[in-house]
Amino acid sequence: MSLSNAEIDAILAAEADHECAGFGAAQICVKIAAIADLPTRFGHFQAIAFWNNRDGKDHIAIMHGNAVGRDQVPTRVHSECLTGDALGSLRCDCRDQLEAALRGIARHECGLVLYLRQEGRGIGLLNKLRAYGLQDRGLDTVEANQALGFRDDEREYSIAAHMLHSLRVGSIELMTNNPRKIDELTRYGVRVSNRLPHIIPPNEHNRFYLETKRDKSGHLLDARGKPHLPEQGESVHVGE
Amino acid sequence: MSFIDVAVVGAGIAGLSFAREIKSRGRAPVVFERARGVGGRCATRRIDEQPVDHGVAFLHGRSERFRTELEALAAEVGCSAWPHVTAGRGLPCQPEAFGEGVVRLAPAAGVSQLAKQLARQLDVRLETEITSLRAAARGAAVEGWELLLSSGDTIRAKTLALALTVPGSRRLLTAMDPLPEPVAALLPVLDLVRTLPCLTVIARFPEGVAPPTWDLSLPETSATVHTILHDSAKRTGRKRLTLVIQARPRFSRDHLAQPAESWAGTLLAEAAALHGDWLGRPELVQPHIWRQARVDAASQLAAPLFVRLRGGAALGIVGDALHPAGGIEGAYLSGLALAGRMTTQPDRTAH
Repeated sequence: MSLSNAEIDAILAAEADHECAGFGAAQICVKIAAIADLPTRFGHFQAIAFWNNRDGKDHIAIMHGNAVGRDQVPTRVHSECLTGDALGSLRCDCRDQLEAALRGIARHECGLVLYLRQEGRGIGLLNKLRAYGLQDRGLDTVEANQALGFRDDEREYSIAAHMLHSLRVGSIELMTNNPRKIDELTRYGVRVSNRLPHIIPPNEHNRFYLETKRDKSGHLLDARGKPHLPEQGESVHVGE
Repeated sequence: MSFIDVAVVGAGIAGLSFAREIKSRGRAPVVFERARGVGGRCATRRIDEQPVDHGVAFLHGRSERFRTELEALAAEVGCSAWPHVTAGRGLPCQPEAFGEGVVRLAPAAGVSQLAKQLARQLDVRLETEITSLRAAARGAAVEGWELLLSSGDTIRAKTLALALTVPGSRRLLTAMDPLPEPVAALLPVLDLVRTLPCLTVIARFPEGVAPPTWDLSLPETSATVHTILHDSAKRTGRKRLTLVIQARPRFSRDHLAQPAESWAGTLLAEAAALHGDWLGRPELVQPHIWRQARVDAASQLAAPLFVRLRGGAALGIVGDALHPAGGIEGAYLSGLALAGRMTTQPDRTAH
């Protein structure tokens, strides 16, 4: 059961007055500004859009069922990746991670994918492609990626925590293979009651990476010699 | 050879902000500056006692931290909200400076007051250029950095922060012999940054000339003039009408090698065509060449560079190119960010 029109109106009215000191070092405050149905090929969801007080990036929560005010909500935190999510890039595993998350929450009574729009000025698409450009020339370093703002994790967790707070989610079951994510969310006041392993089913595009990743660790090269990066910060659990 | 804790090369806003922050975190920085004064491109000169900002024209802040710094400055020295009136619809070099909620400020004694405020409690060695760098290595371990000064002295520091323009930092690093591998790995990142030159003309006008009604002119049609600043509008007391004309990047690059009289004349003629003949008849002209005036916003990096080498030596690179905010605010924040990383990530060793 998704949110009714009356419930949506009540949430939007209450959120209109929301004002707080913000979460995290950057003191980011978000509030729910729009809610709409979103039928997808992965299941039926509602998209809950958040305005924020720092930049023009509208983060969204993709909700299956009604998670508002609930406990033990299966939840996935996903960072936007235009090249992977939308274009199906094989240089990262973002699309596989996102699909597995959406299919995953659709199997539960309710669930959330917090879709964080990280690709802004300075830490954005442009700099990601510049980092790829360095990789193409064999100049890929941790320091280069940091200077290019490639994945600023601290910010992700504080925004995610605020979004869960806005949805009055009492506790979550976090879909992750990375226990550090639990610590980070807990630091921002999120109760994580359980960890759900994030299992990715193999398909014709990802089978090579997934099977190799399961057996080895570290960077992989695809058939064109491009590094295949775990940009969502996850080790991989492969399912059938 | 003398030994210090932290060497900072460049007393621009990034270097000073870094030095002050790292000092507040218990380290002992010494700042080396080639010029006679602090501030770098946050530059003020005096013409017959009247201050003229010939680099950065005004200060603007969006972040909490920098706005607090600007408030502290305004409490210490006379400042006015500036600019008020803009002529033309051209794009300013930092469009976000005119966004909502941005504080815009001009100190009456010049923008370099900000640098002076940052430098107040710091050990700054002026007129001291670093001519070359050497890694103080024992086998594969790099324990510190040796800085050869223009005086011929050598200084050794465990931690080094380069706060020059990106080409300036790059030049010092590439000349290192041997070049430690983790340092070499930073060079391709610096190569991503593109800087833009700006040929600048300071023009003072005879008494009796009526000042323009605008503070800032951004002609959208000119291929040569990017900005004209009504500098004397920022001053208090007795003052002479003084304008600062800044050329467009393309024009600047094409004329860098030519004599100043030729391009200064072109810029003045263009300014006169835009705003009236009086602009073509200044009583005093001072040209200035900024070879690296600013960073192409599309090539801005997001964070300072920082490596810690096996052996304990640490190297950081800061500047307006290494923070997404860009400009003076970016320089200031990149200094803070590097100091933060140096003191909170002590154990991350490269390779």
